Amino acid sequence: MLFVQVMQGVMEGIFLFLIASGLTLIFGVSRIVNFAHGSFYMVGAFLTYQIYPFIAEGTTLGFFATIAICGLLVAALGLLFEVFLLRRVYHAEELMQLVLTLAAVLIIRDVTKFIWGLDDVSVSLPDALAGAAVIGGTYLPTYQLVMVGVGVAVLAAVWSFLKFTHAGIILRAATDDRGMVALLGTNQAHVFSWVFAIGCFLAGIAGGFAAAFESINYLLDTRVIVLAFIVVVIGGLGNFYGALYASLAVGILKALGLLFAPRLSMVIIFLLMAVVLLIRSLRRTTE
Amino acid sequence: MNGDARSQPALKVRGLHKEFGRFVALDSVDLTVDEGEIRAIIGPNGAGKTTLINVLSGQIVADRGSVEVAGRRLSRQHPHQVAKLGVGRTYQISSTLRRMTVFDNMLCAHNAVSGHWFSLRAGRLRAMEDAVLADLKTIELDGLADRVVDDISHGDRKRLEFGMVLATRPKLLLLDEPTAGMGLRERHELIDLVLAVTRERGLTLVFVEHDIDVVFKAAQSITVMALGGVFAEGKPDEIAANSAVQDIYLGGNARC
Amino acid sequence: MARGEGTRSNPETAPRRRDAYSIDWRVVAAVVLLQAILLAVSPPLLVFALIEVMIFALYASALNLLLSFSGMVSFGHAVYFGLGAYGLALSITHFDFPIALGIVAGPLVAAFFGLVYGILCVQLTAIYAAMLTLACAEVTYAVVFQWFDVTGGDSGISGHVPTMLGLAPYQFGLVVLCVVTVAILMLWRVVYSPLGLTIRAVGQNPARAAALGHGRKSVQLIAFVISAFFSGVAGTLFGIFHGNVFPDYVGVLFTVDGLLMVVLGGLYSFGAGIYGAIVYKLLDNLAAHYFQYWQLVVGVIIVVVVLVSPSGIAGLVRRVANRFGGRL
Repeated sequence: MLFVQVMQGVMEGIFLFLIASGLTLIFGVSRIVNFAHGSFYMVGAFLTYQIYPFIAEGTTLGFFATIAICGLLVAALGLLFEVFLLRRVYHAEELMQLVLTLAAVLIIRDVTKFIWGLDDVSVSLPDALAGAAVIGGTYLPTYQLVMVGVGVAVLAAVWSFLKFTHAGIILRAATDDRGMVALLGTNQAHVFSWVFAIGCFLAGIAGGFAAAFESINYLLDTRVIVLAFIVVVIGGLGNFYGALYASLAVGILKALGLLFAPRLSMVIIFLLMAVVLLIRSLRRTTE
Repeated sequence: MNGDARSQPALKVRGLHKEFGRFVALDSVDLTVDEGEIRAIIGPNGAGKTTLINVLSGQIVADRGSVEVAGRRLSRQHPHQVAKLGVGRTYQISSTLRRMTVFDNMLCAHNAVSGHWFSLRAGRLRAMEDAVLADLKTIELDGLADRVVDDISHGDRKRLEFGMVLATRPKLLLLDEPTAGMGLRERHELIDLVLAVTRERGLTLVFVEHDIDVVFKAAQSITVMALGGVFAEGKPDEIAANSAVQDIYLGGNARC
Repeated sequence: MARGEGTRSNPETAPRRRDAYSIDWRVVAAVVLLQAILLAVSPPLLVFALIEVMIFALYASALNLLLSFSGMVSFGHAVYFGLGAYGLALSITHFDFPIALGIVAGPLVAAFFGLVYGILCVQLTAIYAAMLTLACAEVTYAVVFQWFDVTGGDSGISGHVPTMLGLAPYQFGLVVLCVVTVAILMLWRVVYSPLGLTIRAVGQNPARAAALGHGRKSVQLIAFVISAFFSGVAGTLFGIFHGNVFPDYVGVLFTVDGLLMVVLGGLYSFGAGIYGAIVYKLLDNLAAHYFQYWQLVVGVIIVVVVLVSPSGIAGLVRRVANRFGGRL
């Protein structure tokens, strides 16, 4: 029972990681706290629901292809948002940036309602993924294993991107020291745009997987963005690896919380965040 | 140095040490500044000058060492507590209240030391107006009183910042590059103002400065810093004659 | 911009009276009178909308004290709004307070939680502090939502106070008008007093304020408690207006409403909360009847405000006033 719940937590953690890693990368380079990230996730879910029937529904390949396409579509949407709106407020006050992304949440939600209505929808998993595997005498749903695989793959991809590619090195430099990017002669605007698109791609595929595992509706955005923020804050804003640990911690804590204290699981997570924040503030010697 | 032998030095620093990671920003710095003295701190970039000012004003807590201001030892005080001990500072990049008018900036300074900063009586602000205008006249900014700080020139902002610090009636002034980024004429105008006020009120002045002309014009004594430590110290003519100082500083990258 | 001694120092500048601190009673009287007339002649539906506008004008103005002046962002301000309403309800249902005392208790409960959460939140700065306000708010929401025995959970509390104190809508509207006017004038007093100047200095530049001798934490805490108190006043009024209280009152939607109002109204101006509440709540009450997707409209308006006119409605009002030579 405990093991099953922990596995459930790990899976939830991986979902969170897909979303939070994008959020934290975006914050790292552009210092934007993007409330609309959950909305992009939601759009990814609805797009998967919309497109899947047209792409070899029921086959595993079609499933993954759909999710990849949706990820790209969401990335394109994110790019539009970044280029036409967000880019204009990089030098404005923090609150203006926040409110602009908040406005995007409102707009995307109403458009979602308009297109897909208010009812729950879902996507059925391809047969190959709908079963269960036996590991150590416990039945585990195949999709959980698939999600672990997806999580590892994304982690490896982003890690090697950050580590080995030219763009990744610039990105890390930008996270550590924003002035440095200008010194390197890199076109800062391009770095911001690419990171935003990558973040949205990750949110989009997370939404795509979510569509297959749970029913989705227009309220998905707020539900997920709050958790993603908690993860990003616990992991340290802009800290990619911190987001990984925090995602897993929050995912497992939430799953165990549901087991032992179902009514308090969110409270526990918020308290964790508050404690982490306050401890960090004690360690700082300067302001 | 003609400080009063009976009184405490205005500033006494012993063995001050600060590291950022593996970078030694301050390497056992000793510094004694007498009351009424005008001391320049010079040195190449990265010598630890600004770090020293930041430690002295409470912004950064040193790893080791002691700081005494007029005989009172500082121990991990916050900047606002250090300010209350009579230490006024300006920043390399002027630090003012950019969305307020010049007048309101100065009003803030008066308000801060009025002892009634938490009052709800607007009348207390009105009562400060004459003093605020007088201070603006002193720093020759009264003509810009109603301008928003964002709209005035860089040099005027530096001037305003200095004026705000003066208004808090400090005994020890710490100025971090008071003339950085200013034109030649502005630069000398401002330093003349600083000198006039400092002498008139008998203040102690410690300033970091890159402009050698300004340094030799203003300072009674000079501390040369390099690699986080005190490299040399003495009267301006001694420093000018010191060939080692000329090597590391005057001859090398005298200007940044 | 011309630079030189001539512009800098002007010996002819006479000491001026700086009217920014004083309240222009003519404007106050005109607004109150207009609002009273509107309340008296409007049909009930519009009276309800006007009451809501007034309550939210106070709530947004209280939030604006933080956003525009103290340099803090609160992602959980509905907590203090909602706790006003819960303070009123719980003091009556659980402590048998008479209604009059309950009405006093509401804002005090809000201020108390403002103090407790504020002590935590001012330890941090910028976005970290904002995230902590969110955490405090979510924990409070969870407790209110799930502590069924005390708060009634999802179904809230009702019947503890007669809706609108049993008054006719326009009569209650006049009561709200009085309370909100006095409260907003008090907020004005705060902002344009020595304390307000201190709060603004710390909000704009904590480092400079510290060098002048102001500790950031204590000053921001004072602002936080004041803001929580007046949000609590608004929440208490809202609780009386509807005669009930639900967990939603402390929820994230009310928080977002407040933030949007302030930005719509125009950051860094005292009137932001008032202007924002008028436009936002009238849109909410009226447009929502005709157009299902009114949030879309709000979103687009906010985008336009942020990108085109960051000074919001207040900036617009200022520009118009300047054109006609008046001062606002």
